[in-house]
Amino acid sequence: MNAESLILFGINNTLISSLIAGFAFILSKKSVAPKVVHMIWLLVFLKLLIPPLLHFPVLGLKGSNNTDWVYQPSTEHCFTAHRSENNDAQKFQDKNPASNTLRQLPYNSFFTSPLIVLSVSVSFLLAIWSLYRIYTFSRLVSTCSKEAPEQILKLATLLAEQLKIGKSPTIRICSANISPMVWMQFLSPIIILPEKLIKTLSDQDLKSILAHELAHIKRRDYLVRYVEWLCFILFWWNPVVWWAQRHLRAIEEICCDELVLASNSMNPRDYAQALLSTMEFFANPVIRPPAMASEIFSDGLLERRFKMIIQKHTTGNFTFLARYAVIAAAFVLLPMSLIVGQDFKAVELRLSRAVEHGEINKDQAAAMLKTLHQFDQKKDQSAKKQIKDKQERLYAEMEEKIYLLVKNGEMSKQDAAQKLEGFRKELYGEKTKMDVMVARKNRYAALEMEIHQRIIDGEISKKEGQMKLESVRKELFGEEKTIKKIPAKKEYQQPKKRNAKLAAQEKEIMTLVKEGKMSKGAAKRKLENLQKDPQFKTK
Amino acid sequence: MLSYPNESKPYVAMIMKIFSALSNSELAIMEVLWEADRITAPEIRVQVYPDAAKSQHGTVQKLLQRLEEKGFVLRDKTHSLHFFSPRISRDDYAANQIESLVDRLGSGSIAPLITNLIERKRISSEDIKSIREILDKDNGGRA
Repeated sequence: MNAESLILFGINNTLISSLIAGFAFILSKKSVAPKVVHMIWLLVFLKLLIPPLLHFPVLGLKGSNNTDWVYQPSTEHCFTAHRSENNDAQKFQDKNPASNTLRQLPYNSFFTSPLIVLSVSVSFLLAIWSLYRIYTFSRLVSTCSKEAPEQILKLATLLAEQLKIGKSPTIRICSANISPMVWMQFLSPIIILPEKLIKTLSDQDLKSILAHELAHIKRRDYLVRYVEWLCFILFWWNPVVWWAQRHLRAIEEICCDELVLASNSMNPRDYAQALLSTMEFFANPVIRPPAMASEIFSDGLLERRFKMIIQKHTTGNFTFLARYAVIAAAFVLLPMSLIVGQDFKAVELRLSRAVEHGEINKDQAAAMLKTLHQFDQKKDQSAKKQIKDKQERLYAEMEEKIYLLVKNGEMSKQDAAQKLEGFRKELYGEKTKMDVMVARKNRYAALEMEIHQRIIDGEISKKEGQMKLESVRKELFGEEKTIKKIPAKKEYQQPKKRNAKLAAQEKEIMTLVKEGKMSKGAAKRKLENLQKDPQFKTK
Repeated sequence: MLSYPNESKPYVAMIMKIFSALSNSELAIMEVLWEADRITAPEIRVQVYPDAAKSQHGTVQKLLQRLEEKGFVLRDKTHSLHFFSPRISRDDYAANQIESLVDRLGSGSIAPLITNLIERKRISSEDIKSIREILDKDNGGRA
């Protein structure tokens, strides 16, 4: 798990759930069965919580990455794979314990991304704070309320039977002017009723209210509350969550009304009247402080609800099928990852399908696709750059170590060349011909310098040096090219003074590189320039 | 009006302290007022700060003034020594606290764990009027 994968998780889920939310919103405007619309709104919240698990090869997305549920950027793969699979690496590491750089790869530390830290901290605080409130409320409920009177309990039991609920829940009466509600008290739901309202309502109205609350319990809406809560804690920054919740609640109420009316225990008109009486009770300025009146706006959802109660509402023939269709779609959508797959054709296809079916704005779909592209490009670029930087650094370190070992005589040059080659292969994998060429040239230049040094120091004879260099060159470049053919005689016929000067300059550069004061790239360039310099004429 | 069983008083007191619109010291004064119903400032001071030196008198006066401004306390100025009485009963205050807590656990809050029949914040008078019309129309039609 790292910062990047968490951000991807957040974005991926937000994107897909927003799409689902848009779809649900469109459907809710049409005469689609409330049950179906409710399921889709619920899907929005579920999608937010379920991490991107699967990538479907059928749809053209890249195959499942690995056991982890988070996206593994390729750099991590590059190094871990080579660590375990490559035998040369093992051998090499055994011989040179100093070269443990392969193991200590610094990576996107979880804690370096400030965005993640902020989001998680806020989520954590919200969780703690809300738990505290819940605890307080539970205490208040047990201490500031009393058991409901016998007649209400009897009525509830009767209604529970009609609605086919197993056991009638606990009912408590509270003196405060709170709305009748369902509350999850320690694993089981209870109904809380306000004392004043109960005294004001007629028996018929009370029956309606109780039936409504029992319908919520039958539908297990109190469990959906937990899903909402989790989403708010994790996605507090996402306005779609807030918007979707309002709609989810609204459609939930409509579904409850449907359930009550379907049980045929009362007249729709009586039921509607009871609800309205309750609302009027709470709209009373005595009950509700006038200051709150300014907060309120009408969003038409309430009106719609009443219209649906009054009108003869027959559920369509396709509701049954539609519900199963939504469940099937859920299985596909919930674990789905949209962003990880970089097959944009598949994404485009799916978006266009969504546009067809869900009638999402074409502009919206285009904008989403554009964002995906940009994000992917950025990710690619930054990932590539990271890989490149790491590789260069590691290679430079390795080269230095080898150079030192060779210089100290701990390793033969043959071995060194081999090791370096092996390391380079691991590091860069399949490289283009040009990269390979460049790498070879670099190595050749390094070895050449070293050999020169030895000749100057008098450790080996000129001829030996020439031969060695020749063999190295053959090994590296094959017989085809004769790059850097050493104009042996010419070079060594030069006055010793010039050679010494060149050697001294080269040595200086090497030291600077070793000390880290000069980059490898700059050193290469300088050396090349030195060699090209007519003053020295090594070519 | 439901009055809380005596055993629950410490719990309620604790909860009211935490979620109170009043500070700890203000609540302490209110408790005294609720108990006594009509009392003078020095008597309040004796009960709230029993061991303190006389200088606490100023603190008590300040708190009483704040409570008066908030609408919790009524000051009787008929005599030179003012009498204080609570403007809102203890039960009413506790009920207020419960109501605001419910609002905070209802739809639209961070922990929307309550399934309210009515979201007090969500009904507008326009809603009620239009719903009333819908029902009346339907009633008229059926009648």
